[in-house]
Amino acid sequence: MKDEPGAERRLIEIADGMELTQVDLRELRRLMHEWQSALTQGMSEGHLQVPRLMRDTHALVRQVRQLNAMLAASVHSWASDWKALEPAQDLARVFEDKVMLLVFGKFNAGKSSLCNFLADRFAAHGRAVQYFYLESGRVVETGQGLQEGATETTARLQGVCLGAQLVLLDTPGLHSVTPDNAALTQRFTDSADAVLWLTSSTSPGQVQELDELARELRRHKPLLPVITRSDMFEEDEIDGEIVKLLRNKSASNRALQEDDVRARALDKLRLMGIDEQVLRPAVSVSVHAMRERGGGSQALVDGGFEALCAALLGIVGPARAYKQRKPAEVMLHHLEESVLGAIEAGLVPALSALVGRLAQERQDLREAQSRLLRSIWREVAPALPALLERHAPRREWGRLCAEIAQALGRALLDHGQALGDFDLQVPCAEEWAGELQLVLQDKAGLWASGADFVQQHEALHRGVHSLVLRRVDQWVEPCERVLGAVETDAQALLDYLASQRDSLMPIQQQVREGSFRTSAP
Amino acid sequence: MKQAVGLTSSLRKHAESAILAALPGRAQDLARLRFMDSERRPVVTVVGKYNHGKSRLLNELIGHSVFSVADKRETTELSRHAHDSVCWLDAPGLDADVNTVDDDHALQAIWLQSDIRLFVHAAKEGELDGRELALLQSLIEDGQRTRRQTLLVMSQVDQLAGESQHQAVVQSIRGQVPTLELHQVSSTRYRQGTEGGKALLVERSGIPALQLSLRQALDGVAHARAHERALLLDEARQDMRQLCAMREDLRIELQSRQSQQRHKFDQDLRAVLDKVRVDIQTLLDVPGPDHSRTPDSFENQFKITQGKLERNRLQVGYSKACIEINAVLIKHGVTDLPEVQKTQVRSLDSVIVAVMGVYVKYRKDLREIFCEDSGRARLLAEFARYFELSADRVELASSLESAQIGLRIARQGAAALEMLVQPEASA
Repeated sequence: MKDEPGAERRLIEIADGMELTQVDLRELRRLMHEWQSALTQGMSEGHLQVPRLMRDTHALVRQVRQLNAMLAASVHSWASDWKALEPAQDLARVFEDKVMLLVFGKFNAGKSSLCNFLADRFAAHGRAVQYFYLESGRVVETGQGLQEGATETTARLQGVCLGAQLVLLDTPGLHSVTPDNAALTQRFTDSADAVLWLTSSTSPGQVQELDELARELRRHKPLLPVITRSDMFEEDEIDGEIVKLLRNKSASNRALQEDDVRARALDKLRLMGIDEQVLRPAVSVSVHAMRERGGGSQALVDGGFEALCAALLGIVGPARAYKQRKPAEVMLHHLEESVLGAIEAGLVPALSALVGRLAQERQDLREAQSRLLRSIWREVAPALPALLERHAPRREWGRLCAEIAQALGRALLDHGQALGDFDLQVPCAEEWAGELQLVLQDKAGLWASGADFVQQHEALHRGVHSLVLRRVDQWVEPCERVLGAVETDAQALLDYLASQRDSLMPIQQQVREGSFRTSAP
Repeated sequence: MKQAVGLTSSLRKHAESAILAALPGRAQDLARLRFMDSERRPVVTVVGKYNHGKSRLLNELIGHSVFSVADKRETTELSRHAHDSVCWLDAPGLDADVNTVDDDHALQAIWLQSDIRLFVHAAKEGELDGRELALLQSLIEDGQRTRRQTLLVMSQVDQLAGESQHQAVVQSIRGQVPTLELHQVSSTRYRQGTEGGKALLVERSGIPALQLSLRQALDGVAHARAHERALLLDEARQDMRQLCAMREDLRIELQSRQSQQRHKFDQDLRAVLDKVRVDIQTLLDVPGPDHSRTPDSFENQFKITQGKLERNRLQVGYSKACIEINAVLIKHGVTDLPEVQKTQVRSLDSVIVAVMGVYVKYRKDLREIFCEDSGRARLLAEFARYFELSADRVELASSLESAQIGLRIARQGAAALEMLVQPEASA
């Protein structure tokens, strides 16, 4: 493609009038709307039960409340995210019939000078050129060429319309703008159709910059690496002075850098999981050398401009294809990123964390229960022989039971903090005493007239032990139920979200394959 | 330079693994100490983005072409070259790239092996970017701590369009890094000037001035290393002291809990055995003959006999004693037999049954078991043995053992560290 004659002329002509076919996207949009309303419905029904019995300050309760808040907020945020897309769509409408190229790169990559140079070439061929910049979300037209920001932070979003149908959008990159500006910048980059990645020949192909383009590249926008400032000074000392001469870098030198940039960009795309097809062969260009040498046709070929124009011709086609399905893409991206993306990034990990936490809580509860049992038994059982000895001679069984119940109540209070996570009522001692009497009546040994101390003690020992076991079980059981209920809810919601994710896939395929009906010409 | 001359490499390895076992977080410091002790020559590392002229600069500073040069990413390996008793290192480009093995090379070159860092930044790129600035800041901070010097070099100044652009770049970089002197160099000018005998190019190359600064920095390396060595060892010693103290406290705490529990158990057990001894003595101190040994004849098989009554009286007294002892055992968690001793019969699997046995006791047996000193001593010893075998006690003993091992590791680490501090003494 290199040095193909007339690439500049053909680029300028194609920008005069590109036919954009209209396609009917109504069916696809209906499918996407339906998908989202189903999800909204499902999620509003998916609220988790806040665990009863647990203190409000408990981490698990907070976690569940947070999750519920997240559920409510995410449905809400879809709407506001969609609304936030409106300015971008407005901008897209301003440039509806145009192909928009995003010019991306670091502040010193020479973005503005390349844009200005392209604009000058269009003007030289008698085409209209309109510079603009963005201020508080509005497009402001200006007669001045684009300005290179002195540093990364002062850069602003600006651009230029070339001829009838080509727009260059110069972005400072997301990391270098204020949060306010970042959202705005994001919206405008959303509306671009292809990306020029400008990288300085001094240190070409710093592929970590591509991380910022991940969104755009995932949308299958073509990526053209442009190695800028592909020139060098040669110096000599003549008559006690240093004399400088600016040269283009040699063809072999440029080829070396272009291959290197391509190879590493491919590595990076693979790592990011992005289709390698988006990457175009890199081109090298030196605006400085072309201007210095007067911009004649040989200067344009040597400076790399012809090759650049040829490469631009090569991406205008795919950019147009993207543009035709853009409205459907914009909505799909919204569903993928703002809706599913937010669910995958926030809700799903939070739910999984909750399920994991519940398993831990159950384990802790079982351990707490056996600790509680052990502590109560070790405190109460050793007191039984003395109590029995005191009350058996006069057969004061009621008082015996009352005193044992009191001892149990004390032990429960002392060791109840084992279940401190739960807000449980300590059973009152009288209730235990009554139950103990009933239990002991069944054990004939204690009440039978002929029973000796050993038999009485045996009966008492067993009776109290079974009572403690049963009571602690009853006490803990609601806690288990509470944890189980939350877990069921969380698991059901996880399953539901997974099924919704799967059901978006056929829609994604339809949009991407462009398998929608094209309206009759 | 103070060297660990007395420490053989196997001894050193041994000492290092002992230190690391106690302080795994100090691995990097140990590697740095080891490097300083093994490489006596000062090490100069060139750091910066690829293609910013690092290799070319090194070649000019050394005086001949050692490192390969190309107008694309070249240095991905850690390349080194020794010349004039200085070690030169060309670090992989400072770029988070796809290939992450570079990270290890960069760690080696920038942190473990270097005494002096030449931080190179191409003039044409304008001000430093965030990544460069962050690394430079951490190098400056490291310099304040370890006294290792960083020289900031703006390379390829010949590629700036003119004086005003030159000044603008210099000013913005000085604004970013006010504490470092900015060396402005051009390897191309230097090469051209020396080869063509052009003095102005040589002077404007900035290389002679950089060489001078570098020589001064090299002269300070011995001092800096002594400081750094002392610093790293001192920090490790403080950590080690803290670790030893912490583990010692834990051991003491567990030991005292262990002996307190045992003391309480012994106390309760003695008290109940005292009481039981009195009760049994009272049971046995009855006047008249002992009928319990009188066997029942065939005809009074189903009648109440004096023999039966006496046997029953003894059995109840004995069982009561067992119940009271068992109460103490329950209180201290000594009820279940250890797993290996368990039988198929659950009712027999208790400590009280294991110690007291299931056979019928007569007056003589009861006296022997509860009243005589030998019997009482046997009970104390047996119950104490099962106490130590109970689940809670076994768990406590094993925690204590881990604490002891931890303490031993910390103390061995501390001793090994002293070997590094004073290698002569331990050689």
